[in-house]
Amino acid sequence: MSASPLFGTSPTPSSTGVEIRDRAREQGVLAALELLNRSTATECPRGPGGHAVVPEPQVQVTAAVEVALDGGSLVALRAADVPESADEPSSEWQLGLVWLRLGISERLLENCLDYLGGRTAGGTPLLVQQMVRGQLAEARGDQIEVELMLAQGALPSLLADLHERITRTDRSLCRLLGASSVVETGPGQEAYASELLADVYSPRTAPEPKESAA
Amino acid sequence: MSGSKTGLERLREKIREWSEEIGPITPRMERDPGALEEFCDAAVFRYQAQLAIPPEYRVSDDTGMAPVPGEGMTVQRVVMAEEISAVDPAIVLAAPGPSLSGGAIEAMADPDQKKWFYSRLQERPTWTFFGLTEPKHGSDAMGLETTLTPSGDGHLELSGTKRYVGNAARADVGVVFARTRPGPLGVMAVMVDTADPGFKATPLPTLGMRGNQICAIEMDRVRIPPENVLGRHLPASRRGIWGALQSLSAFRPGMAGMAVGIARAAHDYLLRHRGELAAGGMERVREIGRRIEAGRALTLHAARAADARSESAGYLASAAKYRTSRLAEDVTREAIALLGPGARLDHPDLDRYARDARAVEFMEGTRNVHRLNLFQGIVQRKLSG
Ligand SMILES: Cc1cc2nc3c(=O)[nH]c(=O)nc-3n(C[C@H](O)[C@H](O)[C@H](O)COP(=O)(O)OP(=O)(O)OC[C@H]3O[C@@H](n4cnc5c(N)ncnc54)[C@H](O)[C@@H]3O)c2cc1C
Repeated sequence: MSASPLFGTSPTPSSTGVEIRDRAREQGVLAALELLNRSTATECPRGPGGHAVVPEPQVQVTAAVEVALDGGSLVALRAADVPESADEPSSEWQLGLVWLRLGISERLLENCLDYLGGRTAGGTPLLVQQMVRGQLAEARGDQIEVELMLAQGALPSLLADLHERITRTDRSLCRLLGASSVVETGPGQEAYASELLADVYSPRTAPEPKESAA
Repeated sequence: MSGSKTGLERLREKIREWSEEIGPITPRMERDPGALEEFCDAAVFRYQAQLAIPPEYRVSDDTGMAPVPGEGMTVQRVVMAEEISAVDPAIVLAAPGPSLSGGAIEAMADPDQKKWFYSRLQERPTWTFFGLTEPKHGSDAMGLETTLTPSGDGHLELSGTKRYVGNAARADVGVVFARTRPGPLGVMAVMVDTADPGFKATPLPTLGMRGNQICAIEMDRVRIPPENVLGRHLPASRRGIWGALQSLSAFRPGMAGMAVGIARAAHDYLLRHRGELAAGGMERVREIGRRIEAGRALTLHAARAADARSESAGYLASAAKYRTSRLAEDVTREAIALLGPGARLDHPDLDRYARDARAVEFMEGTRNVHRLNLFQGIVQRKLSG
């Protein structure tokens, strides 16, 4: 994929974004966040409200929330507990985070296909149910749109919207995973971690009120 | 204002007061799982346990509150569930008492079994569980695989695995659904003593509804005396899966009440933090309030239909359950967005409401399943006017 301008001014090869997305899809939140931080030379990015989310820190911290994930844990810090050295993340990092969340969303979709393919309702696979098919189609449609917006080099004003779309898509995928998405060892935990990242870093304005479609 | 409305309002106030008296219990249970014991004596716990026992089996008749004249039990349960859940749904879900298994007992137990079950529950605070869902069968309960087989000495043996069963690890007794033979009529329900050899319940750590402590249950040849088999006096079509569906549908409006309560908790929270909202935030909060009103109206409508045994009751309960679960999920998510970046960290109560709301979706049937049921009501013309 060719390099695309980011935020109009700072060019970044979107291949980095794609790489982060792929890492998230294949290895999950922690591995992708480490790659994002490394590739943008970021250590502890501070969100617009002063909070931070970091992969298992080496030093003692007061975690507001700790999310156990495959390969370690993700720690969310309130503004008062964020180290002085923390910086506002670069625009590359912010864009990369949306790529990361997209990868996690795609990972959830894969989980759904596995889960629903192995379950039945009245003897037929859940994947055959039209309502389920429609919901999967909606989710994938949303993901493709997000990817296209990212590949075009999304404007900062769009990032909040993309975060919100990913959250809504993930919620619909979690619903398709049944109660397996509620247990901490299941795929819903990654979705929660992804939402936590959006909560802390999305440069968001309140979304329009709307009922979730499916 | 009509007399019954006043009665309902009084019930609301009392339950609210009792719930606020103990406050949210989930955070305390997360720090110390043993903390639950200390709430058992609270008025709101005692009221729930008492109310769930049919009057003819109660040791004491004092529930702490007179029944509301002119309103049925389902309406009262809905109001109770909403008011409690606006503080913390765990106060309902972690409460000792018959809970969902009481529904199965009501639908299928004979008088001796009822007497045994309800007296056991009144000896001391006793948790129960309702074991239907299995690792491979959730919405598709009809496909369940747990087996109930004769042991050769007049007893039966129960073997299999259940999943996501609330309170199972703290329960003394519960109802388990199992298969005696293939086919929809081959399912039976039995009362199980959790102290019996071969029974093991392990809590599953969850993102939401932690107070419910959902569990995985392993059963390896648990011995079941014949008198613990429910519905022996009933035709095959009136036990097993039918009984399970009866118990679930009786509780469904209450589950909708719980969802309304969670949405309201988030709404109340926003009102208390109105000063921290972004510009234009209050208009959104008002709009959320109107959606909650509509969800509450639908839930009460479904509850009244259930109390009147209307033919639309099951369909309305489905509508109320799935729409209010969606409402709870949407409202809690929007509330977090309205409080700006890092709201999940700065407002842990909101984070809890949002995690709980995600779990309500699956309790007593998912939105897809309820939409399919609502559709049946439409084509059968059971929902007109
Ligand atoms: C907090 C909590 C407490 C619970 N307590 C209990 C309990 O006490 N006892 C108990 O037995 N169980 C309990 N459960 C389990 C609950 O009943 C199940 O989660 C529920 O029945 C859904 O089953 P599932 O999770 O296996 O999802 P699945 O049935 O696997 O559903 C997966 C997805 O497929 C969709 N789907 C399913 N069938 C169809 C269809 N025919 N058409 C279209 N879409 C379909 C669903 O909507 C869902 O989106 C509890 C669950 C939770 C989260």
